[in-house]
Amino acid sequence: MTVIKDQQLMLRVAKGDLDAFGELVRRHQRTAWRIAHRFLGDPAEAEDVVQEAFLRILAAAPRYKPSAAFPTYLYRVVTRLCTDYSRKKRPIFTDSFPETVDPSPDPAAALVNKRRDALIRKALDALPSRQRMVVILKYYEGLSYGDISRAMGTTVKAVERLLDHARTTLQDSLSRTRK
Amino acid sequence: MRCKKILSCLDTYVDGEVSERLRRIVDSHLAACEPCRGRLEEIRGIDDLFRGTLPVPPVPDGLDARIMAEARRRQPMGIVERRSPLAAWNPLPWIAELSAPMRLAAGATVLLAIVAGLSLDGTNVTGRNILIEQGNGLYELEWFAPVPPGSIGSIYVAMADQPHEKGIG
Repeated sequence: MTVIKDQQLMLRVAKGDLDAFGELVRRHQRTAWRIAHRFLGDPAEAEDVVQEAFLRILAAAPRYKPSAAFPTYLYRVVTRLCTDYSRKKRPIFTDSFPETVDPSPDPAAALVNKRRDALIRKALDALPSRQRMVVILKYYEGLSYGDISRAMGTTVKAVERLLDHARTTLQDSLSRTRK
Repeated sequence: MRCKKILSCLDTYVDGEVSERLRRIVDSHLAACEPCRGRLEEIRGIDDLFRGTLPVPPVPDGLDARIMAEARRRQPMGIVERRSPLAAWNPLPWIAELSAPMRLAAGATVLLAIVAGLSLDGTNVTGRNILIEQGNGLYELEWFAPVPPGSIGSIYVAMADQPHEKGIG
């Protein structure tokens, strides 16, 4: 079975093919969800951002030019929406975590993990939005500096600076929390 | 290389984003500099802390369906075929029923007829109509055959060649 590439699907979407758009949504919704959820920390807000991201891609499809891989394009739209969203509304820090299956069978280890995640969440929420996004793209999506710069519409040098500042802030924040 | 320079590139070093040459320089410096090694360990500590954290729940059920529903609401036409109005015009529907070789033969015949027609009316393959070009010169004197010597025509031509004198009407 021939798999249609993302760029070919987008070119079809540009002509109004909603089936092609649906295929793109199914392929990439998880990536968009991961970024939005880790950035915003709230499932409802993350879902709003994911939906809006794909709808904006649909609206912009007639102007789409396959100059970059579709995931890069998706990252750009999602990161922009997340940072805009956070400017309008501070992220909600919640003590209740999403129900996920903890791979550790040990309840004590699960509790430790939960507390660690809470600390990380709090530290991330305290970061300025652009530093937070760089951390998420670097640590959780595993993107290179170049990919992060394209996703955020900035330079590699700027990404280096953001990550350097973020690490320093995170270290200070986590050190204070542990004391 | 000084510590300040090394510290400024430690993040990129940890992330594997430095050139091979710079990596060797940093390795060499770290081997001899405890403060810089300390900073390297702090960065790695942060990195290790983040690994495997912040689990993400599965994508909410039906998210793609909700996205598609909204997409259809905003784009009710679905597939928009921007076809030319001439696309439906088919003056020779029987051509579609011919086999490929027959269609090729039909096309070659039409082309031959066009070339032959152009040749008959004086147009060569470049589109120039030679007859028209030739005809354009018909009104020039060169197109008249030379007048036979001693004929009345030769007298008229000789008179026309004389310079005009005033007073002669």
